[in-house]
Amino acid sequence: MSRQLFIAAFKHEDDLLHAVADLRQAGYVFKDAYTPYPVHGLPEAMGIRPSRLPWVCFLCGLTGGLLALIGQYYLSAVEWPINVGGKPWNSSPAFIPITFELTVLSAGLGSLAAFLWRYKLIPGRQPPVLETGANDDQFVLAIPEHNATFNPQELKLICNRHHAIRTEQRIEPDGQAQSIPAQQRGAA
Amino acid sequence: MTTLQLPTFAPRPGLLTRLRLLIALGVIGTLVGLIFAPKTTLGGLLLGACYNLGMGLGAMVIIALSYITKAGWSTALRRIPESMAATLPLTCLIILIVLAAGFHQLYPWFNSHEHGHVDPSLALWRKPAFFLARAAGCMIIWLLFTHAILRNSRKQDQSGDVRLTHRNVGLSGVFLMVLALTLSLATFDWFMSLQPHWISTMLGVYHFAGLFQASIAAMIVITILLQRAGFLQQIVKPAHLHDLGKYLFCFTTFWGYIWYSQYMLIWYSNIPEETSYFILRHNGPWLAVAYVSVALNWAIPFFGLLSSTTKRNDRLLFKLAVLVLIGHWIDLYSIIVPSMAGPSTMIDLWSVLPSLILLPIFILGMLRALRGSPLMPARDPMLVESLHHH
Repeated sequence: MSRQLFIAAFKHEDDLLHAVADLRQAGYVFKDAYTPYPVHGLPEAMGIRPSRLPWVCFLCGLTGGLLALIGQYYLSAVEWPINVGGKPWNSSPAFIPITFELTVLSAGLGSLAAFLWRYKLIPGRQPPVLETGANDDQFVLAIPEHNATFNPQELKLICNRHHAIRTEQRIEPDGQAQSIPAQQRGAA
Repeated sequence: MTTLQLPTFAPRPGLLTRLRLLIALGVIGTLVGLIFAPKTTLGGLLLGACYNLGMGLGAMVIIALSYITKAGWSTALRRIPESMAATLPLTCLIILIVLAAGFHQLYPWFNSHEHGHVDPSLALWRKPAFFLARAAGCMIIWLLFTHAILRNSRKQDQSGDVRLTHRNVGLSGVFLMVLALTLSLATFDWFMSLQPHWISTMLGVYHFAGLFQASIAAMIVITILLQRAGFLQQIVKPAHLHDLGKYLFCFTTFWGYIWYSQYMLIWYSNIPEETSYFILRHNGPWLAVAYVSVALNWAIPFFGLLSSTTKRNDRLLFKLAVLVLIGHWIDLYSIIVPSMAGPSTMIDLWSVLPSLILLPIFILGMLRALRGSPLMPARDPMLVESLHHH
């Protein structure tokens, strides 16, 4: 099944923010916005729910820290006790640096892996480029056909009110972003 | 620039009366203490005065850091740390008086004749006049920088001259470097020599970590109180609180890191001239104080501030900041008081009472400074960025 996709490009981030606010009020939902740099306040204006990545980060950190503590306890107090400076086998102050390092390491790597996996950013993968202008100097908004209120005429009207430099309708096959063939990239 | 409604601050009249009442109570308690338990009362005076000093110096570090990093977000709030730093002259004077009047009670090395031969350089170092001169020298340096930076900031209210910002950027950089050395010296002199056979080269940075964390917490508390009282209402947004929360979180982590670094090095090498400090503080009733200190300064604020929801919520952030402020007092208490109260006491009333005078004095001085200047640096070139922070 394919659906309609409405695309609007803006020259300024404020135009994009205002258009997003108006469109949201009119009941539209967004596929995504593509911008050359992070625009402050855009996720809130689009009504995107807060990222769950902090939870992944926290749980990975917790796992790493606990594993480090348990591992060190097992190795130095149970499996192979070594007398170091007459300290007790289970010397928790000595375990802290490694616990800290493993917490940070697993939190960092875990978050990165979760991010790459969630956004399907496998290294070497051809990125689905919707609009090349967003890599340059344009702020691009994509609105999918989601229900009966989807009205390209109205969309065009609202976007033009906010100085859209270009609007376009295309077909999005199977809910995937459309890749632009290499020869078309310069034309955008 | 658009015309800006400049908020000015006026405290509720009842507040000042209550603070003055507390001071009166504290003065009575301290006078009684000076007669019956002069040693711990003097320790309490040093503790209370150094708490105020930490607030002032920490505020100066906040100001200096935002100048040298050209931080935009904090400019609208700069008058708050400036008002905290404005209390420094009086605080320094109080510390100097306490040190001059009490050093023969506070510092056991003053009367010690246990060595037949004393190294001449050590003898010079121990001379009361030199001890006080070192303290005064550190204070003069701090006060000169404070005076210069605050004066430039106030001058800019009139002239809007951007060169004043550049001048303060330069001053801030030098101040931070000089503070690192002078604060270490002061900490070694005033805190470490309370237990003269104990050595820790990390005590200076440990003291700094605590006072800076606490002054960020104080800035949060004052910001939120001002906001609740109706000032700064259009100015402080959740984004500002979020940044202040991140600041506090960051230096909460730093405090934990420094606390552990000092502890771990001493625990690991396990040599008598270093361990005496922790043997006194991690045994008997003092162990409870050590646990409370680590809980309030690190564990609770660290896990509490992990989530961005807490940092943007003024009620939760306020509570955590108050806990940190209490925690820093307990931290200083656990540095200073065990050396004079001995191993078997945990709560020494005489060393608590002087804080009843000194804390209200700090608040009164800060309120006075807050009243005496516009609540925002109105013509600072960074202000617009700060107001549009989101």
